Amino acid sequence: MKHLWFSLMMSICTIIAFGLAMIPLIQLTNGLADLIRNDASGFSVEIKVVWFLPVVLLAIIEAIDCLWNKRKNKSSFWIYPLVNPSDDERERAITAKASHDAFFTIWAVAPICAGLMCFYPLFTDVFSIYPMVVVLIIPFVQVTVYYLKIRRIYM
Amino acid sequence: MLNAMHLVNRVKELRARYNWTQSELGERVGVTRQTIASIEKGDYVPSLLLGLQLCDVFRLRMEDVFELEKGADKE
Repeated sequence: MKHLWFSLMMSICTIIAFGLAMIPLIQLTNGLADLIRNDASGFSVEIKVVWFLPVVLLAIIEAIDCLWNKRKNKSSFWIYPLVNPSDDERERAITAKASHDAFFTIWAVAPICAGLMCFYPLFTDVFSIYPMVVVLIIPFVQVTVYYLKIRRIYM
Repeated sequence: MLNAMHLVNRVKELRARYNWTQSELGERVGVTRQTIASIEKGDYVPSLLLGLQLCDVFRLRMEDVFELEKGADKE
């Protein structure tokens, strides 16, 4: 159960860290857009490396955990830190049900997020990462639903 | 009219007779301790294969381990 909650926390942190790492890239494309709009000859953008630190930090933690628990981790390296319990038929059935529920949650959440994107023009200047936040709500909800469902395996 | 049916089992009783823990029984049939606990509580209905494996380790017939319990009729 502890491993499950650790995996959930790491998954949510990964989504947040990925969103934070996108901030300087959005600033960069905003600068590029201004350059095109104003037909200027050049532009300068200040990219703060600090936004990439959470991703780097998580990568280190995940690499340590992945190597430390190499024998226990049966899942692919590429889906880390997600877990996919499938030790026996009951675990496979619960995991399949959790995946099914997570899929249908996306069916409901994606149109809501598309609706939220309609408000982007209101936040263009004050909250430039708004689209990134809205898009990342989708995997956040999906992962949360998936873990809440597979926790039944350990109950 | 629908018949509500439940599968009841004697896994807990038989396991106690053999003096096995849930983990030991799980190892014998290739499932986790939690799965044995769920079967004993009636929360999980095992597949035919797992049911037959359980019967095999207890050296009993299917009807001696599992029983279909018919509930009240529903309209």
